[in-house]
Amino acid sequence: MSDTPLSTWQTQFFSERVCARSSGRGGVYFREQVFGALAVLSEALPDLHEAVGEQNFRFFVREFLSNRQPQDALGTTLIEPFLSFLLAEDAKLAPPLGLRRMIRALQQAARSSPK
Amino acid sequence: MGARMGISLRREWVEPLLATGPALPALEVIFEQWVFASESELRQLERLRERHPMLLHCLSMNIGSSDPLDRDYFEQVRAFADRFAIAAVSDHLSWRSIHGVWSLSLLPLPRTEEALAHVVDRVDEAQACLGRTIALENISQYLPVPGDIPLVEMFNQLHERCGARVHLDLNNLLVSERWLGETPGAFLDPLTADMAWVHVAGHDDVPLPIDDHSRMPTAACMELLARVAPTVPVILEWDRERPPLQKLLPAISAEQVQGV
Repeated sequence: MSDTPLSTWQTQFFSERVCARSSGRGGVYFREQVFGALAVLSEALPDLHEAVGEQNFRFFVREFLSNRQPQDALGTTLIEPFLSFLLAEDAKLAPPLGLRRMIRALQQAARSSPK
Repeated sequence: MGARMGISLRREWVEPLLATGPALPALEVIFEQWVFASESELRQLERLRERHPMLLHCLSMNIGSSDPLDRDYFEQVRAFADRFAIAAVSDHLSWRSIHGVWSLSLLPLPRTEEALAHVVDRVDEAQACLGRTIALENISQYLPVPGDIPLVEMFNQLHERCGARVHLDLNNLLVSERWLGETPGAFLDPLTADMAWVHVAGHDDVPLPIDDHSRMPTAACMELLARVAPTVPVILEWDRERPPLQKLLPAISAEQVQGV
């Protein structure tokens, strides 16, 4: 990739507007990341979404994204990292979500699904 | 009353559409939703193709990015379009990645000659890969960008310089107006680029809306549709809180009677 004014601007925009969590108008593209990830993950993991509950699911997706940059054009590679994140978060919770078995089964399914 | 409306297909609507759905004037298929489909699912799509004119909408051409075009992706799109004999293919006038890191959102381009020339080159390359001309959709834009070329002029120039048609999204014009104050008329009145097809959708009516496709098109969207009076297919998009197809199709018919 050449170092053009366009690439410089895109690098800066991505860093400041897409990856950084901020409030107000300037945070809209980060919030869209959350929205997009919610759409991808809730469609891919409907049973987990239902088991965790809407508010908790949104919370975990937001936390997940605040620590990680979305990497994949198709969104599908979000699934395995999200499951790992949720498993790690579950271990910190008291009481835990009680979903370890479900999450591990989903991890197994995600690993064996066609890419 | 104008032309009937088609829909942007979602996976849970496939079986009901095969079972009982009427022939639609057009059916939009989103490429990314079928990338990992099984052969039996693709055969279902072939059966739908026999009954409905099909349009192919893509999310990952990444046409405005400074990253290199992903030629593997374009080969997949071409194979898909060939298999289903789809002539009309679109993506967005936007970018999604930089240095190989991808956004889930469609990001706005600067309105500069540099960006325009960059996109012209990329569209030429994309069209050569696909063996088809492409259309580009106007995205919902939430923040100002550098440059003083009007957005509509970007589309007019793209059509003139590389043959790209405009995939007009009326809801996106309305969402962008709320954030940036640019009126839909400022885009529609000077638009000379040929149109490929039109998107309509609804959004949550909050002070600063997000393009979430969460409801039927707003009255303002249907008024714009009547104003444009397109002779190309009109496609309804619905993503959040989707209704079952059995509820959606009658709602579309009612909406058309009132709005177009």
